[in-house]
Amino acid sequence: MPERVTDLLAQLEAVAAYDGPWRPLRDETALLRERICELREREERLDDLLVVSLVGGSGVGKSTLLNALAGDELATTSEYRPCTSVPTVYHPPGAGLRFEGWTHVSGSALEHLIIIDTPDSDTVLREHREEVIKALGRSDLILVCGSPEKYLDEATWSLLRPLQGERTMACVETKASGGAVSVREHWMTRLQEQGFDVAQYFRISARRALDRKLHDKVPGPDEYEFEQLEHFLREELTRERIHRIKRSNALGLLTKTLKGLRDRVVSRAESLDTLRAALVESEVEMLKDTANYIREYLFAEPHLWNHALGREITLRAKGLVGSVFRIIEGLRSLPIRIAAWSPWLPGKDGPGRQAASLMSGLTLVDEHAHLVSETVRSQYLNKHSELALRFVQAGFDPPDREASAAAFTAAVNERVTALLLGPARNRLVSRARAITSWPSTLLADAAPGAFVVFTAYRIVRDYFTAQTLSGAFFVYSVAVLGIILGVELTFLSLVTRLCAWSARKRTMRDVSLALAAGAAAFNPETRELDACASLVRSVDSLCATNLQSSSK
Amino acid sequence: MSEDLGQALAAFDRALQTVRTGVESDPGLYDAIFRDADDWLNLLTYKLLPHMAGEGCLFVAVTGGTNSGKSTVFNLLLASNVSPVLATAAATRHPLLAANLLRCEQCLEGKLVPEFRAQSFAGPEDVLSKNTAAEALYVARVDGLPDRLALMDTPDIDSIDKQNWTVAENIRAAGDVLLAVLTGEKYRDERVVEFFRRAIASGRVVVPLMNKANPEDDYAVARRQLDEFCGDLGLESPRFVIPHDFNLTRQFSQPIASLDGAGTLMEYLLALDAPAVKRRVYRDSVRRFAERAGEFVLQAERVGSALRTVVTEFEAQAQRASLQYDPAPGREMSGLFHEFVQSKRGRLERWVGTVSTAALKGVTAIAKRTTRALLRRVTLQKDDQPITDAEIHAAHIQAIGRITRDLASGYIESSHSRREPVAGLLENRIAGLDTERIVVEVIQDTVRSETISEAFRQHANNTLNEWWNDHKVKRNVLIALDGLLFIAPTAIAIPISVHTGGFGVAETMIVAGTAAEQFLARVVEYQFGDAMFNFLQPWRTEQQQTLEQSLVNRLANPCLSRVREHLELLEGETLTEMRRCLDLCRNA
Repeated sequence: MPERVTDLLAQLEAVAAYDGPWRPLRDETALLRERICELREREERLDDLLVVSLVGGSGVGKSTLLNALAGDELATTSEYRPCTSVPTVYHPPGAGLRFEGWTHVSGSALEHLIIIDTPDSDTVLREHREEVIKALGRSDLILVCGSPEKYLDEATWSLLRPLQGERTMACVETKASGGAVSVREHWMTRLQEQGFDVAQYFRISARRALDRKLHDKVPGPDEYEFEQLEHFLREELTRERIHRIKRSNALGLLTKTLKGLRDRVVSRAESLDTLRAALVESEVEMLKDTANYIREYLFAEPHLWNHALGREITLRAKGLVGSVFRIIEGLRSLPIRIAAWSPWLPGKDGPGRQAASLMSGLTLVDEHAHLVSETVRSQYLNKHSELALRFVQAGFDPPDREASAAAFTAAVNERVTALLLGPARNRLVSRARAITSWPSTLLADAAPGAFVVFTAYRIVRDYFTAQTLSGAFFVYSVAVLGIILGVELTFLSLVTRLCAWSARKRTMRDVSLALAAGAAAFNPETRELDACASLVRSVDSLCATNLQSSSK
Repeated sequence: MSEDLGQALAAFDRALQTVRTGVESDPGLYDAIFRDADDWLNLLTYKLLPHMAGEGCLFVAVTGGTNSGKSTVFNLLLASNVSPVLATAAATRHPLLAANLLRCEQCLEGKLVPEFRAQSFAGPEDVLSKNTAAEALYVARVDGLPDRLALMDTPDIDSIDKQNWTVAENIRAAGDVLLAVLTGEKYRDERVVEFFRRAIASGRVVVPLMNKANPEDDYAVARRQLDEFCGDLGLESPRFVIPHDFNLTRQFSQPIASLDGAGTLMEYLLALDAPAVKRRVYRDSVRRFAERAGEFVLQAERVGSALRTVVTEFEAQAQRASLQYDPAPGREMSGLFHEFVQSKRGRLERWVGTVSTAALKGVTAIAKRTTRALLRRVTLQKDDQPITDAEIHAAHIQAIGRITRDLASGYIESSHSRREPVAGLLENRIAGLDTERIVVEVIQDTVRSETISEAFRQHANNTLNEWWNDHKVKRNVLIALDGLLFIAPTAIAIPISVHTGGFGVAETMIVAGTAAEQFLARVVEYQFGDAMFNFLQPWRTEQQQTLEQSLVNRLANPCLSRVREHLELLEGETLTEMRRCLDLCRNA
């Protein structure tokens, strides 16, 4: 049992430590911390003496009851209201407990108990109420004193209501006279109606018991159940019983705390679930949009990929066709190179250019690439504003938009950069290698080579046969060579485009996967939501197990 | 005089009923306005309105804490066992009125205490029943009583059964003399003292009576207790006492004695100058009513101003939000300059300009496309800047959506920090908002009016005209330049056309006219370069105001609907009417 309580308190403390943006939970933490503190304190005081306080309206005879129990005029009593203004603490000799500013009387024979006689709860002197509340806070067992005139007073009941379940209570009807027990019935019925659980009821005449004790007489029947009360306090409140009382008080407080949590926090867990669903949905949409953007703008066919692949091929191209391809590629990329030289052309630092430089393995001017443009950012901000509204509606503080946007763009940037530098570039290089490898170079050069050799052979043969070659022959030869080269170059260019296209397709899939795998669009929000959802779940399970067991 | 007062009170009551029915639906607001109002409301309802009906009849109410013996005292005064006496607390739940035949009949006809539903008293269980309505009053006929006296037994004022308190307080308002039944335990209880303090403040005669007193030493204890009680209240009155050994079964007819030698309690009550007491009660009631009702009006005003603050703040928030909207002018804006320049040209130039502008449009589109294609080659990506009107439009829609959602979040946030009663009024409304629908509506409202309004066109024309008229030299230079630009190529074209046989004149003219118009428009636009922001300001403001209006209509007003409803009531004529009535009361 104690381990369980400690365990429970530790779990509750984790909940109380919550300082996140979810208002319903955060509003609970102050109270929860207070309660945990109180529970810990109670746990520590488990072996202390039982604190019994006498509470009731003015003039019901609280001080008289204390005197009767002590058998001495400890507390002053009078006909005039209110009488007691400072609580009297009656304790056995050597009890360690001290209360600032209160009257302490040592010498009680009830060695397990500390009895506090409180001031009234209902007269015009309101400060007395404060003292009563203080005494009630420290007590384990409350003896609610009442007289036929004052057992149904709102003033006293309003003090007891907040302590319902957290304190063990017993009723003492102090001014019994005659045989009527209607007050007992009425009082108990009303207590039950209002949800109080009162186990003991003593109908006594404190005044007569005191008189008897002062004059050393034998107990008589006119004291009613005073003897039972004394017996209860003296004999029945054994160490175990005291433990049990303190335990059940603590358990009551715990149950109350958990019930409060369940009513105010767990009941709102559903809104967290819907929020979670909405979050996932927006996240998927956002990532899809971003991937789309990257495909349609950043990775736009054909420029970026053709350019990058072309560059790789020019670096490696050899042979006749290769050289011609190099020249043509050089011409084709002229606008880009001119733009890079000229300071006034726009779009020099555009994401596309940066992506191209990353893929070509060139060092960037900037340390970091900025591949995500304003469009993605504004798209993100829009999605975020929708989500923020839902968060606020579910009771969260508004999430920090700028920070989230920065985190998201940074994450996307990082992932796309890594992709471009790694797999995308490798893919291009391997394709370029294949295109410019020796076999394919030889294959490509075979036709024009053969033609050149054939033409050379014709020239040499005709020279030795002393025939003059017509001018048309040269024109035709050049034309045929041109046609062969043209066809081959066209084919090569087609292959290049095809390779670029396939590389882009593969990389695009990688981008989608990479974004879906790691770059959660709303990371800070997800974190906060998960943190409080898990707390709520733990509270829920705490409530489920403990409330069930305590109701048994 | 009294007539006026009656009318004023009736008018006040009507105004009050309007307010009451208006705010009744919101417990929070009702509580904020009517807090602590029971006191004077009871005075109004139970005393002032029906005041003269029971003239000459003194209502003596037996009041006090639970189980202090009110019913016992009541029975003692009547010298018969009318009201049931129980040992348990809070037994009596409904008031019981005892009077002679005449008064009984008046009472049952609803003449004496019209606010209570008078019923004939059939037996003890009537007043003990829990199931009867709170306004029930039982009337018992006791023949020994004189015309001028009616006695009432009342429920307690301090037990946990709070409905008893309400009944007791209503009785306190209706009664003229309150018999304070005290006991040694209860004479300084806060609720008891407070109850009688209020009664004295509204002019009631309070007679203290110590029940269950110890007769030893000539009631020394009771005397001091009663002194303390009177001291708490500042009360001067003969004090009465009932000893604790009073034998009720035998001594019903035993008189209740005074401690000050003022005779028995019944004698004292009979000796009271009924009209004088009633007058005093009435006067004090009016005074207290005026005082407290004045406070009430102030309180209502305070609540009203709190509501007003919320409305103002919400509207200010909407305005701030709308200022975040930065509408970018579309192509139409530069069209305004061309329009203006065209209007200032000669007929021929204008005609040529119109034709050529149409031609230019086609050329521009092609040129733009080419430029963008080139640019795309250079930057290696598609151009994603919002350039076309459609794209600007889409961007605007997004911006407005964002602003609207942010504002909704702001409202929810600010409603958290509000205190009651405003928080209660806002909460339901805000929680039930269908924000996505509102966003769509706001976008529809605002973006539909995106085109240049007639008012702004007028404004632009005026501004340009003003500039045109103020700068005489520039104007003349521009006109000359226009002519030159228009004529010069034509002048060159004429010799060419003579040479080529008419070929190219029309083409040159079209090119020249267009160039001239474009050039002039650019010059004018350039002239306005610095002032462009100011020039556009009215248009921006117009757009922002449209947005603000839409935000207020679609978002703020649904949130504030309840607040506004109540505000109308609290700021309207009802309170003014109340104030006027109160002034009348004070003067009377």
